[in-house]
Amino acid sequence: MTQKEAWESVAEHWIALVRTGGDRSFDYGAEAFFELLPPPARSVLELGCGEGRVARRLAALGYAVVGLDSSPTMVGLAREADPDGEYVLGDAAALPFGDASFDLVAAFMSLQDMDDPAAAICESARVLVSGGCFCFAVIHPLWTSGEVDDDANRFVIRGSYLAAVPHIRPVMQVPSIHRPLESYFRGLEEGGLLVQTMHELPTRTRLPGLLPVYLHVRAVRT
Amino acid sequence: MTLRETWDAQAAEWTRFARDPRGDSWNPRFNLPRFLELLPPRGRRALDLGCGEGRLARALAARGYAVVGVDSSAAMVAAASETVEAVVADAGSLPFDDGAFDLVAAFMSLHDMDDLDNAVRETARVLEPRGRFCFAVVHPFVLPGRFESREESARFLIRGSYLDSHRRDDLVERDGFRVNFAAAHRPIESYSRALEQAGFVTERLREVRYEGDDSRRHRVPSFLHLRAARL
Repeated sequence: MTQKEAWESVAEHWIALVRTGGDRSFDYGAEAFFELLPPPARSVLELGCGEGRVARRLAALGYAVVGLDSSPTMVGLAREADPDGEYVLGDAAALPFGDASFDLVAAFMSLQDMDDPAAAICESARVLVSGGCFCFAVIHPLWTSGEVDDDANRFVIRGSYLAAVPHIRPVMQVPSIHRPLESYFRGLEEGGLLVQTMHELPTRTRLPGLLPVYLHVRAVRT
Repeated sequence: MTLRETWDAQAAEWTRFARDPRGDSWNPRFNLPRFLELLPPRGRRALDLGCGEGRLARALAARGYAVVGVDSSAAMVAAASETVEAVVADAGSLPFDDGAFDLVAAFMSLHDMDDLDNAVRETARVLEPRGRFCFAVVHPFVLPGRFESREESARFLIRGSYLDSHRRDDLVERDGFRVNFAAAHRPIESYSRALEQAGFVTERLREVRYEGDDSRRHRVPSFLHLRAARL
């Protein structure tokens, strides 16, 4: 099953979870992510918008937003929740937009769930204007490479950090892929995106403060 | 003891280790070759920042780069000066004019410096606009951890903090060598912040993989290589 198919199959579960306040990554990471973005009044493509929680927030902050997702169920619910918003069904690795269509592409907690994030990053670069920004948040690659051993108060890597490893995210029960940090950077480099900022958000509940749980990156298109 | 003092005190032993194939095998075998691939083609003038006994400067000179090394340790610089041009100075106060170089390369040295931010700021100052800063460090994801055993399936364990910067001492005694690989562990965000503050953007990041027979090490990255451009 591709990631695209897997996400369509969990769309109802995801929506129930998100709309009952069960999305920890949003509660914890979204405000820090918004601070990373260049200021509003820009045209934004939100990549992997899901049911639209980030797009609605960006619109409220004053951005002109187009949300895109590969799941018909997600896009349908995003439209239902925000009838005035613009939501497009499409593949991040083959974006249905012309070159230089946006000032900003934002991918909040979605690249790690895509079949080909490097292709999605290159496509993002293509639809950005020169000087435009690409900002993304993912689960931190160190965090997805192992697990917390609570008894011994330590972090344990049993398998390979360097391999791409499909897994079900333990808390939210959704399909994701661990990839090493370099795999994202290869996409950025191929797309001609230069990284300005990397933020590592600390763990809060398990081994609090010791390990990075999310990675936020801002890059600029040359 | 500062990192600078620790490394200065073992300069002679480090020089012996670095120049003997029974001592340092990882760097000549795969770390240095990958790092040389990261560098831009030879240009006007290159600075080897934290040159130690001069292994990178020698490799650059052999490839036609006009290179000068700098290290805070007089003993290291004396060893490097046997084969390349090198000067004694602190990375946070470089004795070079603004824009004097088009390349600054720091091979396995940034984590041995006590003050990262000032070293990176000075690097930006001595680089011309669009000059490149390339560095290699022990990968920050593995520096604070270790394998639980020598078994092939051994788990890699991180005890304590990845996110807090802290000093680590790792005394290696083997084959008649005795080197303390003293280093400042810093999370990737610390490197990113230092680069951003100094006016750099990152154009390439590589997680360098171990090449060799210890199969445990094929599961974790060994080194982090990064190339940044000065705006």
